[in-house]
Amino acid sequence: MGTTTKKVFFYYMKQTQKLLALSVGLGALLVAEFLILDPDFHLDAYAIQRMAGFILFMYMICQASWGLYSVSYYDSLVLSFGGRRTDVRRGAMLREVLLAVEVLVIYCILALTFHMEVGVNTSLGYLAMGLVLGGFMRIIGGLNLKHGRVVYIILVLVCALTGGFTSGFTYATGYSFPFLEFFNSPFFALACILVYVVLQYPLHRIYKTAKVY
Amino acid sequence: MGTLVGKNITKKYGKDTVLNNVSVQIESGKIYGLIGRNGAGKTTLLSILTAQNPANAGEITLDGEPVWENEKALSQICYSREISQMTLFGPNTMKLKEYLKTAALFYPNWDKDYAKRLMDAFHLDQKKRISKLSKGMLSAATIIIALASKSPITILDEPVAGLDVVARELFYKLVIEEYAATGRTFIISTHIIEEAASLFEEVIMIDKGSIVLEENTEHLMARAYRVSGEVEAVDKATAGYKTYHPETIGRNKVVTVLANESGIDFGGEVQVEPTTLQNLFYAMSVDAELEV
Repeated sequence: MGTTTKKVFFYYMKQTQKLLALSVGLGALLVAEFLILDPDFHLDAYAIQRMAGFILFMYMICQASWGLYSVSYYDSLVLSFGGRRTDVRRGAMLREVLLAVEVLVIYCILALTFHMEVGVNTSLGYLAMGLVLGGFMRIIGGLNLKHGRVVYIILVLVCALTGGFTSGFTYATGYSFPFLEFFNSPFFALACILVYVVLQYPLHRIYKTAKVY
Repeated sequence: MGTLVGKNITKKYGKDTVLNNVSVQIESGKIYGLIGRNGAGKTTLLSILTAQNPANAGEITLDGEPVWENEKALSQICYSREISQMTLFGPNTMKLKEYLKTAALFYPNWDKDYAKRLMDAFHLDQKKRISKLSKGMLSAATIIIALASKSPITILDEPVAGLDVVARELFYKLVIEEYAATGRTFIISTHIIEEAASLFEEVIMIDKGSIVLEENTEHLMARAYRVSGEVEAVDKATAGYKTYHPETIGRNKVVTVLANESGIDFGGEVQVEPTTLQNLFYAMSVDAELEV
């Protein structure tokens, strides 16, 4: 591994720690808010479980927002300082995976220390979905740089239409798509990881001709 | 240090051809001036030479090795460009300190003490956010990164934009000192040609996506003349020479001549004086039809 590659990886690993601190910090802050505002809320296993849930939620937000933001700024910054595109793409992937692993470790520490009731499938589902969100939003960020903000409009339309269709279908037919059951199954995390792997191909295409902005 | 060569570079943005089959050779240990009008293709050329922008066609090598995705080549080049004050979601809130730290991480020869001295010389507060810096401060920041990187090939794209005259003179002094101390290769693109002309050992002029000339500055200026006199006399004296931007006022005419050699005798009927690089560039670039 070349020197610049190591530097790129080190840079992205540093960014991961900032995101980890943000996820954990915001999760802890939310629980602290409950503790202050609700006199019946105590720092027990349930509170820690709520915090762990918040951390997972903030982790997904961080993956998505950083994925969208990093293409036009941090990735561009690394390229401007002589980083190779291959290293930048791998560095961004390292950041996503490392963040997922670190959040998993923190979750496990909290679970074991405070004897939390852990939904293994659900937790792993959140973590894997965070990876997919990060990868997907990097694609959106890359497409935005190429085609402009019409990409966001299309994304919002697709999300709105999908949501509208599924809820309308459910209302009309009474059939409820088994999203929740699938989300809680062990296959969801595996499916997300598979999707994440597949997303690396369009990401490779985007980063191949990336330029400094 | 090595020779940076760009061969047959073409770059298109949609239907617009920004660079048209451009070839350029940057030899080590020289200070190059890259001059051209707005939109001529200076920044595009520099970004392609440094692999920060992919070309549609062409080859860029450093000592015979391709620059694209080449760690060894890229580690020898610093292209310090304008820092953006805006990002996707709003103002660039990164602090100057962090920006310099990131630069220090990537440039293998980064001189931390020199960067600190330059920060003091340009009166920059490293705790300030990039979005809060003035245009001149941003330029100073790019200069600091370029100089402190100590990269064998250092490229500055319009480094003096927004700088006051004191800061500009400081920049020119720093470049000369750094060049004298290390012999680094500098490529400086600028619009303030007259001030920087004395720095340039070689000058590259680009116009409408093509290299118009690439020459030693001294040799170039030795064969550039400003010929004035009566219209007929000037026309007779400059017949057969490449002339630019003729100006006629009554019976008198002034024209800029770029001959093939120095020491041309235009005869006694006209007045001949040396011209400056800025005047030469102006004469070669101005579009007479659009002059008011």
